[in-house]
Amino acid sequence: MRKVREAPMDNHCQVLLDKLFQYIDGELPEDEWRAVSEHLEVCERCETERRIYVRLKEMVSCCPHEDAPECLRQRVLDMIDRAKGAE
Amino acid sequence: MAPYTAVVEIDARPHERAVGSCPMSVDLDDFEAEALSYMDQLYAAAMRMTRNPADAEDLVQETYAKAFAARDRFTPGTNLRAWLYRIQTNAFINTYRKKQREPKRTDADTVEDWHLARAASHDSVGLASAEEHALDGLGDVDIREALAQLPDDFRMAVYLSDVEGFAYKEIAEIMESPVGTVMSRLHRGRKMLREMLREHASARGIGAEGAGGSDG
Repeated sequence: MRKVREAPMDNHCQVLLDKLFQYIDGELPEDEWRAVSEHLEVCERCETERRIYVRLKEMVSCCPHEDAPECLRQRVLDMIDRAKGAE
Repeated sequence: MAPYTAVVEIDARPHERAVGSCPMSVDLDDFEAEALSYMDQLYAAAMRMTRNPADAEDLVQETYAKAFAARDRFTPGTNLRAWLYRIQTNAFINTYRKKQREPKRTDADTVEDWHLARAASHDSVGLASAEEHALDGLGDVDIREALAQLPDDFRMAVYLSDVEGFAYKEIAEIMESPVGTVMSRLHRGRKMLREMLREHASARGIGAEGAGGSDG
């Protein structure tokens, strides 16, 4: 299987891709955020990259997790109780 | 030990500071009550760090023991959740990671870049779209397995950002690393995750042909 590149990635894309995670994570200052947004509107490749990483982020954040078991809660409360008893 | 039979209910919904609304008959002060309200989140993070329930429970208990012992060093009004994560992250690094280090697992700094090189950042539109659809065919188990395979530092950075929603600056404080290092860990961690999921999908024939993205 060989990777086919439709066109060489231009420098502009690379600059923006370097900021993609900051963009997705809401860590870019407004002017840079706007510049990336404007590029994403016209560049399908970068926009697809954005969608893939947003989807990944959602998948990670939605991955279900277990709540702390009751016995752990009890262990910690007992610990507090003992500490208070010792005061 | 004082006898103690009280039933305690603590609201532990993420990102809520429901200190005043916790019905409890144990004599907890505000600091303790708020700290305890983060237990589910700390446990979930501990599960991701240690990858097993027994170690996760011990880690969370150690975190609370350290937090209560060091509470004088917490500045009221600052971010207690981040402070607790910092204690837990340190405890994990100092004890559990050493204890459970497996020969195969590598540290973030020594990870070979071949993984990343393969996760070419800019596939053709067609391949990337196929990959996007392939992601939809994956389930929670795939994500969990892929996350578990990330080097600890990468996994923690990704977890703190994506699950806990901490800002880069907060993650830097929690992990006691410069912001640039956090960004690099996020960057590399996500690219590795993407590559692993792409391989999962490809191996199971999910998505269009070519979504495997081999550089062959």
